[in-house]
Amino acid sequence: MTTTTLDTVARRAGGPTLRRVLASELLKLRGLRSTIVLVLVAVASVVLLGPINAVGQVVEDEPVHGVGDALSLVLMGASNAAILLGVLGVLTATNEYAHASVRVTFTAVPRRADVVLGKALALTSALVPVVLVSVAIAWEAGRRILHHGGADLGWTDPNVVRMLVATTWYVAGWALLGQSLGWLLRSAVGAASALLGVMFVLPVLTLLIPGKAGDTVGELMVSEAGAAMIRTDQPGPGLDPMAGALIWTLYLGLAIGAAVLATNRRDA
Amino acid sequence: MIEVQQLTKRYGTTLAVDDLTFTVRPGHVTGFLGPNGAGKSTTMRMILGLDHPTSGRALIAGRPYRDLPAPLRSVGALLDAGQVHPRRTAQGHLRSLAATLGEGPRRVQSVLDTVGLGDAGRRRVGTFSLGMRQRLGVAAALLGDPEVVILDEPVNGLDPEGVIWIRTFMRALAAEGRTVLVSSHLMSEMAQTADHLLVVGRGRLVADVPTDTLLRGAEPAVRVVSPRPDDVWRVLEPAGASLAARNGNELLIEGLGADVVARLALAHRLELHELVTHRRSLESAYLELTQDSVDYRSQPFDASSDPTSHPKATT
Repeated sequence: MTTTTLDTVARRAGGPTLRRVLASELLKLRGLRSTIVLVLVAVASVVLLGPINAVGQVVEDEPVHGVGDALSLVLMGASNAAILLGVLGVLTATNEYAHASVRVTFTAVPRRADVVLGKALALTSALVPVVLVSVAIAWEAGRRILHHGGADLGWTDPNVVRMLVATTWYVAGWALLGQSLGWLLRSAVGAASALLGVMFVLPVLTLLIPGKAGDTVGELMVSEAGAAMIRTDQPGPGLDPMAGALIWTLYLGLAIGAAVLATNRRDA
Repeated sequence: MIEVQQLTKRYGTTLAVDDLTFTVRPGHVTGFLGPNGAGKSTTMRMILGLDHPTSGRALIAGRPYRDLPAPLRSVGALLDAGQVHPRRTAQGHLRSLAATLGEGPRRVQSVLDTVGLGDAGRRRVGTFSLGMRQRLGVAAALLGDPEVVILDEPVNGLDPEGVIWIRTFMRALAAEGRTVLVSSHLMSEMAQTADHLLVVGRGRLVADVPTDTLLRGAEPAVRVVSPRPDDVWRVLEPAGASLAARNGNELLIEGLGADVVARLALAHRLELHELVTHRRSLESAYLELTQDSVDYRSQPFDASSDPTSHPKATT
């Protein structure tokens, strides 16, 4: 049977469909104060850090070299948000294990793939609008501030919309990676450490691989693919943003797939 | 109806559940009884599709749990009262579960009312007493109005009021024609609740009997203390008594009731100091059954031995 027919059977029986699991996971996500706090701090860092730096730039009378330069300056809070929301992602999965509530969840929804997908969809659909609005506010504020420094920046400038969307997907992606690592490792500390390892340690380790192979492997690392997606220094060496986005999304799919496999195989 | 067929679970070299086969019928409270570590919880987790059996299978209404189209509408389970994030509210927890069934806040309030938590819905679960958390667990089990209810050690840590509540509740569920499977390591508790008993020890099924049968298992014995035990025995023996034990002036008689013993002693003008009926308790019947299958047994206390050498008791 395909998932669609299984869903139909479940819906008629009043059982768990993917849509219902998503609704359930959204309730769980909103039901914890820690979620709200992490999201608010992430929003604050996106909205404040970039524009504050823009103010510094203007005060110090340093020029901005083009729209790309301005974007990376104004959106610099996104990397902070990525860490914070990555940890939130970790917690959304490991909270289930910390109190063994995963057993309640899996008795309600025995098709564990639906739980993993439902949780991923809930996290994505909750974060994407919030982050998108935050980066837009940061850009509008930063643009106005830099205008005082003499830079003429608009919404229709090349790369602006792409960058705002890509930055949102970058931040939400780290949250999804954190969630997948949470499913795989089941411990908050373990998964958060692994997440930071993927973010900061893995790219450094690839520098140890000698020659051209090292460069290629380095470019294909998760963090580098993500960084390529939001680069503004094109053309230059390394992946172009489209390729980066593609590889980044592929990695997210693999991580969620691994989480599905692991939860299906293990005893709860 | 729960059918367990040759269910086996092996962790490394230990057999937690060893070839269990039994059926739990609707309309009864079935007690799942065994010492700690006998495999009760593991069996329940396998019935609920949480743990994968090494071999064998468990069916609910003829299907493996994972194939039920709406599992919470077929089976309600209370596994461990602690299984809720302490910072969630009771309502929040139940609403996220109800959402998987397409049910809303009304159903949640109705089950909260049923278990007597109607006013506590907005409180965080972390502030609940153990008894309240058990009630919340029962509320979660009832969300889908299931035919089968599975409760793992529901009376653990409850105050007397809570114990009576749960007991009455299980009986009511069974009276409605539902299938109720409840585990416990306390025989006395099961004697008061369960109609039927499944006794397990070391993962094996040692008894599958109606509670009455297990209780009636042995004839009552009568303890007689008299200053003239030999004369008493001479009177009782022809009446069909058998002597189970003798200790000085004390006789343990089987095969005669206390009334007959009293009448015979009176007729022969024999002085009796004590006349007591020893009914075999469920406790002792249970101990006999599981004697060979207790994992961790307390050793007779010996002050001279090294205390650290005692076997460690675990739960």
